Amino acid sequence: MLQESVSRILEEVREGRADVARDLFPVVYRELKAIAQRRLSALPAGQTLQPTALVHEAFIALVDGSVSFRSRAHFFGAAAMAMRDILVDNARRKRALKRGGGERPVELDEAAVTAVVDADAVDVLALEDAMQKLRAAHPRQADVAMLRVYVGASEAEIAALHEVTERTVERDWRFAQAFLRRELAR
Amino acid sequence: MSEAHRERVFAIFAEAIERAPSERAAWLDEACRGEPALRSEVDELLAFDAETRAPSLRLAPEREERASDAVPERVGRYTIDRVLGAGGMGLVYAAHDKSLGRTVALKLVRGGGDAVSRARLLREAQAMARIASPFVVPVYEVGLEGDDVFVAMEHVDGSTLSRWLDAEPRPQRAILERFIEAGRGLAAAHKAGVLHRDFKGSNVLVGSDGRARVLDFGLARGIDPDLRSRVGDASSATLDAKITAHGSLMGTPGYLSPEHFTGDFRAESDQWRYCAALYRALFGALPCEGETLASLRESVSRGPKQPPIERASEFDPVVVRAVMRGLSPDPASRWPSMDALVSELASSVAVSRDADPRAFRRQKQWALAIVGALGALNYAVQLARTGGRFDLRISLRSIAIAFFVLAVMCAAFRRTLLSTRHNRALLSAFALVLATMVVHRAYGVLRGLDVVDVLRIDALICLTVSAVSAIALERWLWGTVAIMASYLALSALGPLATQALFPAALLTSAALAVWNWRAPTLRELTRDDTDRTPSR
Repeated sequence: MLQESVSRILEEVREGRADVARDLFPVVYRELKAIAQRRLSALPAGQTLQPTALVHEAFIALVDGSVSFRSRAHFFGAAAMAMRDILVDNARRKRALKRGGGERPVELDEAAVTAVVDADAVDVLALEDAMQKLRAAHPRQADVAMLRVYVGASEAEIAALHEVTERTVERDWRFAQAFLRRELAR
Repeated sequence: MSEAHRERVFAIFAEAIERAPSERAAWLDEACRGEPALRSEVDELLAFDAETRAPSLRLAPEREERASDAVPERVGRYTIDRVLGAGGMGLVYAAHDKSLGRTVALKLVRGGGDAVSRARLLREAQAMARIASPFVVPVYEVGLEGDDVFVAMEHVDGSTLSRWLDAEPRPQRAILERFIEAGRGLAAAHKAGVLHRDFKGSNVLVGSDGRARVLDFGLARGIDPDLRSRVGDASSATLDAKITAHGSLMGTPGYLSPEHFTGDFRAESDQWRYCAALYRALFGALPCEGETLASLRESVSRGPKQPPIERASEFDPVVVRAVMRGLSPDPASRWPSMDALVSELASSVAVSRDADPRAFRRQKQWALAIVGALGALNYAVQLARTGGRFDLRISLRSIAIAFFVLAVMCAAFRRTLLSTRHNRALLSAFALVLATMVVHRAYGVLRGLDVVDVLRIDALICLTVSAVSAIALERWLWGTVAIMASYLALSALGPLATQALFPAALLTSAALAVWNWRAPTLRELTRDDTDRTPSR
């Protein structure tokens, strides 16, 4: 049963088995995509999906009530990475399409992902580059930025997940924003 | 670049943004002296921090906001200025009301779903508008704009209570005052028939005037009509879904009242959450914790944890008891109403005249000093009148005066002196000794007994009382008792000769008591006198 295995992975990660964390990611990734597709087919044209709603739905689908609250931080961390990958893959494919010319029909999952966010608002690939620089230099601030940007978590939620004060998250996020903006402007 | 350098960049940036832009340059000159590379990097980051027109980085909007929802220009007669934040279930904007020329906070709840849930939302907002209290953010107008429901409220300039608490260590009195205000707001809401359902520090605003106001009443409930039916069965998966839908379980859930697990939310549940928030503000920890929903549920049903001893002893026992009662697992054993709870808390603030949590100790020391001074005065007058000769009648009178003074002091300082069990035990032992002496000496006067015999027997009676009461007293008071007991033993041998030692013994033991007079320990605070805890 999927729920049980994800919950087990989360508990093992919490007990310090970092290697198991790798198993978590593909499950979360697949689930997020599946939910996006399901939701999209039920959505009137022109409407978009909220990443936060997707992540929460994936959470309910994948994790049962026995998982400790601390383990949830790992889940949302993995979800942020999965959202990021979905968006980045999608942006890469879109760019390849533009360059390669040929009119290929857009696959359903691409459409789903495009609908998730208004990806034109910011260059997803440039943002990803900036994010990697931030991670190399300031990993904690990058964690906060990932949850803000890709999961849409509020400062209060991140504070609770990481067990720090809201004030700390606020400062980290402000720093991360300045850093990312600087990188994007370069 | 080195790890240390990167950490300094962040540390200096974080400190710089706390300062007013006008002071920043001078402060940075100081902080980055001799490190031009550091300075230029921080300057650069600060420039990007200030750049408000920079592209939004938020790919995923917070859940209240939808990607398709642009900021509206106008809602009703209000012109939208800017986004203030996301609260409750919608975005909150700063908006201008042209006709009245004032700024309002406008909460816009997008497309409240079907007509039924929209109507419910509207009803809840109207209920909130009925609450008239200076401690609830006043609602100016509630209305429909197309599919959206908007609520125009007072624009409060300030921060949330949780930020206010985080910003700096606050004295106990200030914390209590803010919570008492918020509690009055909740009480007013309950009287108007409105439950809050989501009380926590971030739902209370502290204005720049220092007054606390409660925000976001019961609105969260209105949006999801099928939630109620789903909560009916409280399996952890359902509860998970319910709470995750509201976004509060993503992290550590701090404030789940026992009724959250049964779905039976009521006014007492608001009270529980209020007490949990106050508990956390005072003791820096949550009253109930669990790693999983199941263990949290168990912890909540067991009742609140004992507050950490070293913290609790700084606090007025009345407050500690009030909070612990509000956190009872059984709603029926909590306070009958928010009003009752708040007036209990308010009585504590009224007594502690000082912002210092140690005010109580100081008050006790004052009480003892006054008793000591009056006792010495009494003794001096007695000596002057008898010229050193012992007179039973005069001593009887001075003991009666001492008795009277003690009674007056107890009445004047009753909250401090009578608040804990051992204070009461100490004072009753004292009163018992005085009363025994009055009765015994009066008997001696009436029967014309030998003065020395009467004094000897007095000393033996007092010695017995001291020895017996020492068993019941705290160990740290034994030194005091030992001094008095040795004086009394000497006095039994030669009452007239040792008379002069009396003030010395009294003053030494009193000084020792003052020195040792610590705030009562937690054990007493919580187990103390069930007899005084009002029951329903």
